[in-house]
Amino acid sequence: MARILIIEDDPNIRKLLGVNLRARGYTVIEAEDAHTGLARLRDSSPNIMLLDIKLPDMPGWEVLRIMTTDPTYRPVPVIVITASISSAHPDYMLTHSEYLRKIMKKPISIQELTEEVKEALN
Amino acid sequence: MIKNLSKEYRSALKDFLQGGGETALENAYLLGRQALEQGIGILDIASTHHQVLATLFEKLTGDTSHPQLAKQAGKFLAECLSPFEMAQRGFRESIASLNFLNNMLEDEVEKRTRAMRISEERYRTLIDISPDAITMTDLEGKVALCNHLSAQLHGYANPEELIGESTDAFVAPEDMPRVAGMSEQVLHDGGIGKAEYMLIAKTGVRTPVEARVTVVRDVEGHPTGFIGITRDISERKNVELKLESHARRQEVLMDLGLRALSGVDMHTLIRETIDLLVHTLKVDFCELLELIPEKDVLLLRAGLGWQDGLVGSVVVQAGDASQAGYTLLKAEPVIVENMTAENRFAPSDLLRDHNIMAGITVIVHSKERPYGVLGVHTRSPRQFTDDEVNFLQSLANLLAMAFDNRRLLETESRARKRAEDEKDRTIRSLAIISHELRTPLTSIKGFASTLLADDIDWSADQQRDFIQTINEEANKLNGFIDQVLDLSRIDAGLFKFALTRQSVGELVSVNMTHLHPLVERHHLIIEIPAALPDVLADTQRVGQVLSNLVENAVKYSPEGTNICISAQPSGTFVRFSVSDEGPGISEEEREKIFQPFYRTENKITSKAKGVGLGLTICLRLIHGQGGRIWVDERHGPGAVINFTLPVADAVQETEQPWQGS
Repeated sequence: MARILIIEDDPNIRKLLGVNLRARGYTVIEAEDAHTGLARLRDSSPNIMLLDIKLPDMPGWEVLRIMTTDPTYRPVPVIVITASISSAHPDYMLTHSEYLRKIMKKPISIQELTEEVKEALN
Repeated sequence: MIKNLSKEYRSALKDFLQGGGETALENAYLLGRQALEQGIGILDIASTHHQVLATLFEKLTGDTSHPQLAKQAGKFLAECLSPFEMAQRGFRESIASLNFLNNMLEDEVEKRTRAMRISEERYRTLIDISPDAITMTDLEGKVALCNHLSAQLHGYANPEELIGESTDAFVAPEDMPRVAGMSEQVLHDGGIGKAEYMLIAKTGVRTPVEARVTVVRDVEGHPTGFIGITRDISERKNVELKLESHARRQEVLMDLGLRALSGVDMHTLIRETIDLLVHTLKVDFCELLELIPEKDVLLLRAGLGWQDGLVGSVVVQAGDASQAGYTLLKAEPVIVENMTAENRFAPSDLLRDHNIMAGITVIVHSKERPYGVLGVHTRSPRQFTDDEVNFLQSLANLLAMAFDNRRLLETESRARKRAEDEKDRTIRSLAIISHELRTPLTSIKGFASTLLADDIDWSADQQRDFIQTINEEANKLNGFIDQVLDLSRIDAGLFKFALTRQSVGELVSVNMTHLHPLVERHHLIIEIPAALPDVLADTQRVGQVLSNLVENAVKYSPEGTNICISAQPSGTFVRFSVSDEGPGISEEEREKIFQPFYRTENKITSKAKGVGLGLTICLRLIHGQGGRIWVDERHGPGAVINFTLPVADAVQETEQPWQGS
């Protein structure tokens, strides 16, 4: 079954995403900041990443950039889940990459998320 | 030709009369006719005819025995009657014309003589009473006649002395070509010639003059000399010069006014003003002194001509201990023409050290207050015209206007900057608020829909956990909304403080019930001395502040360490301190932590995160009660936040109730 990496600093949202995805049979790897997330990306070989933008150590966009530009990482499809994104955001323009599947705005719909994850894994 | 014709005719007639016969008569007849046809020499012919006829009739009457001669005479008469009559008529007309002409000529001559007599008298009178110097010369320019003024202008006492002198000798060499050219032209074209030149009198005195010259002609119209009026124009020149400098000053003013309006910086405007003043008024020194009211001195803000190093540093005393001070005192221009005679004020060292003898100082009065004094000075005594004083005052007014404009612009720009900053802050705040609302909402909505999901059966424990999380997040959301609302209400001035007099011990102990639950894993120490004055405070708001500070201390310091609330007197205030044993607050964060939504990095735990409004609200609450709040400037570990509350006895009754600002 597919492995999903969640990088999200809010513990309750992390828990929300975790229980829902685990209940649907996925293996969930959790990270509470960008650095931990990047480490898990390297050592836990996830198939997909759920990425928050407002992280304590660096913006989520930076994680996306590092993943796609640093050859030591194996890039995976990314679903961004954020409470503070505007599509006019310069960072968004810069990091728009083929791996960015979807930007979901908080509060998200769990049903929508599980469908999106399913689709990204196919 | 004509003369010859009549001569020939006369001789032909003579031949005939001397017995030349028919041929002579024929000849005379032809010649006479010819002469008549040409119509000239009528008088001659007529008189000749007269002679001929007289001779003929004499002969006819004297000797009737000459039938042939009679016949000849008859023929001649018949032939000549017509021309003769013509000639006679012509003669009569000629006589009449001659008479007429003669009469006319006589009249004219008489008239002219009379006129000449009159005009000559007039002329002399005119010349003598003329306000101008009048000089008549011959064609070579030698003076023939002149009046007293002319003689004086040329440096002579009497007109007779000037007669015979050449006027050219009195023209300044540099002006000679122009004057000579003018005479030449007048002689050639007639009319009146004009020239301005420098007249150098015999005495050497130079006078700027304007000369108007025309040619004098005799009866036949031949030029005989020149007559000229010479006017002293030194006065006019003076006025012209004044007008010119006045005009120049007006231009300078306009230019500077434009510069002031064009938004040039004050430094440049002052420098340009001073340069122009020195240049336009031809002074040795110029200065702009700025009044420093708190020190009662005037600072040499800018200037020209002063010794190096003085501008920007040297000061002069206000009051009558300096010309500038005296100017401020009188609030009107102070003109000094000779410093040695000055007794209105004592000249400053600055003026004395530069050996200044004269000058003008005027007040630079901006809208709010006298800015200072603008002045010009010279090393030698000098008189100043009203125009110069006005010019200086105008420039001072212009500077004052520029100062005012600048101040307005700066105020306006500051206000705009503030408004923009405020807008930026609002937008940032809204972005943060939006984020802070969405995060708990994500959990609430997410867990609610998780519970409602029909594809998964959650265990009872799981369901309970989800509901607890929803509850926790809903509380967080509620707390956040409360904080934002509190802040908005304080900012809007809607926050009422219920200030009451109470002891410090009571104020803290009343709030202990809220504080204790916060410090489950820390030791809370209260250090309140008994002998503290009562404070005027809102119990509930102070409790809110203390809770917030203690909560922060808990978040930012390791478990098991001490958190201390202490109080001590501080003038008309009581100072409260909340300290912990955490890493402390860095110097650069001491101010920032009171800004809305500012959050420090929490090295102790990433779990306990606020939204960054707690300290902002504390600041507003403390300010609202008349106190202040700040981070203790101590080094090393441990954060200490102090706040003060006013001592009740130090606050006047009328000032309450206090209201948030």
